[in-house]
Order: sequence, then C-alpha cells, then structure tokens
Amino acid sequence: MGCVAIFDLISILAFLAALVILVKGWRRSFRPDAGFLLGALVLFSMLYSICLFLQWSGTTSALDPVEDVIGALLPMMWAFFFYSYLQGVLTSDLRQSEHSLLESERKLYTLMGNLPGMVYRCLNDRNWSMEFISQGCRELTGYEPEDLLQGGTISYADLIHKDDREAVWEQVQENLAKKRPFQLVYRIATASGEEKSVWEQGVGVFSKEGGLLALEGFIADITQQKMAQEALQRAHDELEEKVEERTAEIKETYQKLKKAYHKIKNDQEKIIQLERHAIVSRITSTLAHETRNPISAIGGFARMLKRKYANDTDLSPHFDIILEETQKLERLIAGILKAGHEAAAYFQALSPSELLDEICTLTQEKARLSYVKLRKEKGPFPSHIIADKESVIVALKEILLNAIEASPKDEEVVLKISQEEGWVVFSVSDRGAGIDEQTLGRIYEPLFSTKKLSSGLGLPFAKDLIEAQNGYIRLQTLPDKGTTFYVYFPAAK
Amino acid sequence: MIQQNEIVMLFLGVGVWVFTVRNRAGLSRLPASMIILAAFYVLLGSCVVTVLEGFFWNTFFNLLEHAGLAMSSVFTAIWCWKVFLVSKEPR
Repeated sequence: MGCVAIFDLISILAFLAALVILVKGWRRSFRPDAGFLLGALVLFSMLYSICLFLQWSGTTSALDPVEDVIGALLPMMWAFFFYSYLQGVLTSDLRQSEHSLLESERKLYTLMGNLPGMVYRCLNDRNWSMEFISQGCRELTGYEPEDLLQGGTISYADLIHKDDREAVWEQVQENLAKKRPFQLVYRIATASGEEKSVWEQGVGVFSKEGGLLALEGFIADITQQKMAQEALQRAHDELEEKVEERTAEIKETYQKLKKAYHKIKNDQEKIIQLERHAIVSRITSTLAHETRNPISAIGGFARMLKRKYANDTDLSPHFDIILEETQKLERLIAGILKAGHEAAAYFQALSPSELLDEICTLTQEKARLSYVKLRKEKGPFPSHIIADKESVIVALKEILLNAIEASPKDEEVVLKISQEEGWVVFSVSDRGAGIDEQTLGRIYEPLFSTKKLSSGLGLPFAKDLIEAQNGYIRLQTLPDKGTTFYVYFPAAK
Repeated sequence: MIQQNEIVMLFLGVGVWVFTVRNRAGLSRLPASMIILAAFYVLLGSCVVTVLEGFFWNTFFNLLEHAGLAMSSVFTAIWCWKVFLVSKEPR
C-alpha cells in the first residue's frame, strides 16, 4: 500500500511542477485559450491526485464527491484542451491562408500595375463591357479604370478606331468559336484624342459546361514599335530605291562602256583594215608601176611582129592572143593606178548598155569554161553614167567573175541594168550558196578570201574603183538562194 | 466494487480517445505531441484498470491505476518543461 501513496505523491509533485513551469513559462505563451485549459487540466489533475492520496491515507472521506466530479471532468478537460488547440491551429491556418491570399493579390496588383499595358476581364458583347481593368488603363487610354468598367462613362468599344472595330469583333469571335487564344493589333483613340496602336492577347474563359463566361487578356501600347517599324520600312524602301537608282546608273554606265568598247573595237578593226588596205594599195601600185612599161613594150613588139609576119597564117593568131592579153593587163594596171588616184581618170558619158555588152564579152570565155550562162536584162533607160570607162569595166568585171565562180554548173548569172532616182544600177545575181554572216563582214577586206586560189583583192579593188567614180556598192544574199551585187553610178543629168 | 463515476470517466475518456484518433493529423502539430498524447493514453489506461479493479485483482489494478496516474503526471510535467522552457519552436 506504500507504493500507492508514493505514486500519488509523485503525481502531486509532477503536476505541481507542471503548474510551476506553466506559470514560469507563461510569457512564451502557448495559445491563450488552450493554455488556460491546460493550466486548469493540470490543476484539476493535481487536485484529483491529492484527493486520491487523502482518501488512501484515510485522513478524510469528505472529498469523495469532489474526487468523483473531478474524475468525470478530467477527460472532458483533455477533450477541451485538444479541441481548443485544434481550433487555434485551424484559425492560424486560415489567417495564414488569408494572409497568403492577400499577399498574392497584392503581388498581382503590383505586377499588373507595373505592366506596360492593361489587364482586363470583359464580357463578350459589342461594347466589350469590362468587369475588371488594371491601373495600366490610365496610361494606355487616358481614362480612369472606373470610366471603362460596366456602367462607366465610356465603353472600350468606343475607344477602338471605327475602321478596326468590326475586324476586331470578327477576329475575336472566330477564335472564340475555336476556343483558342487570340492576338490582335488595332488602333484606339485615347482620352486626349491621340491615336495609339495596341497589341492585344486574350482568351475566352469557359465554364465546365463549355459556356463562355468572359474574356481575359492583356493590351499593350505598341505605337512606338509601330512607328519604329514604319520608319524602318521607309528606310528600307529608300534604300531599295537608292540601290535601284545606283543599279540603273551602273547598268547605264556599263552600257555606255560596252558601246564605247564596241566602237573602239570597230574603229580598231577599221584602222587595221585601212592599214592593210594602204599596204595592199602600195604594193599593187608599185607592181602596177613596175609592170606597166614592160607590158607596154611587150604590146608594142607584139604589134610590130604582127605587122612583119602578117602573111604567116600560123604565127598571126598567136600575136593576136599576145596583144589581147597585153591589153587586158594594161587595162588592169590602168584601173589599179586610177583606184589609187595615181593615174588621171577620164570621166565621160557612158552608155550602160554598151558597158554591159563589153563586160559580157570580156567574161564570156570564163563563163563558158565554168559551164555558167550569162543572161543580160537591159531595161529601157535613156540615162548615161559619168565615169571613167576603164575603171567601170574593171570593177564590174571583177564582180561578174566572182559571181561566175560562186555559181553552180548549168546555172545562170543575170546581169541587169535599172534606174533609181539619179542612179544607174548594175546588178549581178548568182544562184550560189550565198554568203554567211561572218564572211559578209569581211568581204571587202583586202587579202580576205574564202577561196583557196584567190588573192582576196578582187572585191576590195572593185569597191575602191566604184567609189572613185562617186558610186557605191551593196549586196543582198540569201542562204542557198544566191547573192546579188548592186553597183550604183550617178546618172548623167 | 464498481463505482458509477469510474464508468462515466471511462466512457468520457474513450470518447476523447476517439476524438484524438480522428484528429490525429491536427494534434500531431502539437509540439512534442507524442509526450502529451502518451500522458493522455496512460491516464485512459488507468481509467480502464480502475474499472477492472472492481472485478478481480483489485489490489494489483489499484496499484496500476495509481502508477498510471503517476506516469501521466510525469509525462505532463516533462511536456510542459519541454514546451514552455526548453523548446524554441513556434507553438
């Protein structure tokens, strides 16, 4: 039984100690209500222990009712203590939640207030009736948020530029129908009447059933960016324009250079041609000078021998041939010298028809040997030409010989005379292969020839002779159809 | 011999025990919650043995009852000491 007393005493002392600790540590307060209940609990527990101790020691039995009451109260006091603590915890949690919520709201407001634009929540109606607008509204639109809220002085739709209003509505409705976010760029008019470009991003807020509750989004001022973009575009356009101008200038310069280059090249070619011409002229002129006297001597002696052996029928025809060939050479030499203005030309009125006959006679043998027919076409024309006879015959003969050589066998070479406003035209047509473009450019070039056994002097020589008679020469050629040379001499008035 | 107040005390104690079990999560936030809950459970145990005392082994169960009460008081004192004098954790 002593043990029971000891346990009771331990209980009393332990509860007493707890009570002292509670009083001592009261400043480091527990939750006040729970603290009081704990104090009461400890006190009542101690009283209960005292009652038990006294009951055991038999000192008094008057405390039995007190013991019964306290015994019944103890579990309830524990319950109250636990309950009050739980309430305190819940209240604390609630306060903390409220505090967190308020802090979050404060952060949200600070964030929204510092955003370079305005955050909104509005209804999906034509007025875009605003349920919430952040403080950024003031800077963006110049209006107070209250002015734009539902029932305010102005609706947001009124701020949108009238030309953009319908497009904004349609784009939003289109995106809402597909339940996807939308991005818009449009213009608004601020309270001061200034026009601003804005960028908006928004999204529809839908209920669980899928019904549209509101629109939420953000609107930012992009006027500066827009202006910068436009300035950039302008600069870009200007730059492009300048580049185009410069390109055109460069192209023009290039064309000029190209033209100048071609001119220089042509001039260079002409110079080369002229130089070659001059050399050839000098050579032929020298040859003509050197051979004229011997040929004259041969002609003179041939005539003398012909007279001496006039009765010799065997030798006489040979002398005729020598004389004929000598005359040909003399005529050629005379032509060369006249072309080089080294011999005096004797201008006189000449009958084109007679000239044509004479030329045909001179080339008849060559045509026969080449199996080519010569056909003359003489028109009725009264005009004579004023020219040096020898030069005209030599020039036309050279052209005709060329035509005979170019003509295929059994074909015709046509010689024709016609008249054109102050000019008498001799034309020589063959039915050869024609002249290709490359050859055409060099046809009057001295020493140039497409034939193997040719000096390349015939046509340049003929051209020089014709030009010395104040005439000119041109040609017309068709591939596989032939070539026609036209020689123009001034008609006598 | 069974006394009426001991039965009442036991029932009330069991009720509080059910309450503590149901609100275990909230009560676990009590500082040094194991000690204070142990103090309560030991007290509840002494209530049980007090009732049993009336049926058999009355001397032994009576001793257990007082021992349980003593343990409960010691746990309570330790908890108070730990919470109000030693611990610096928020309460």
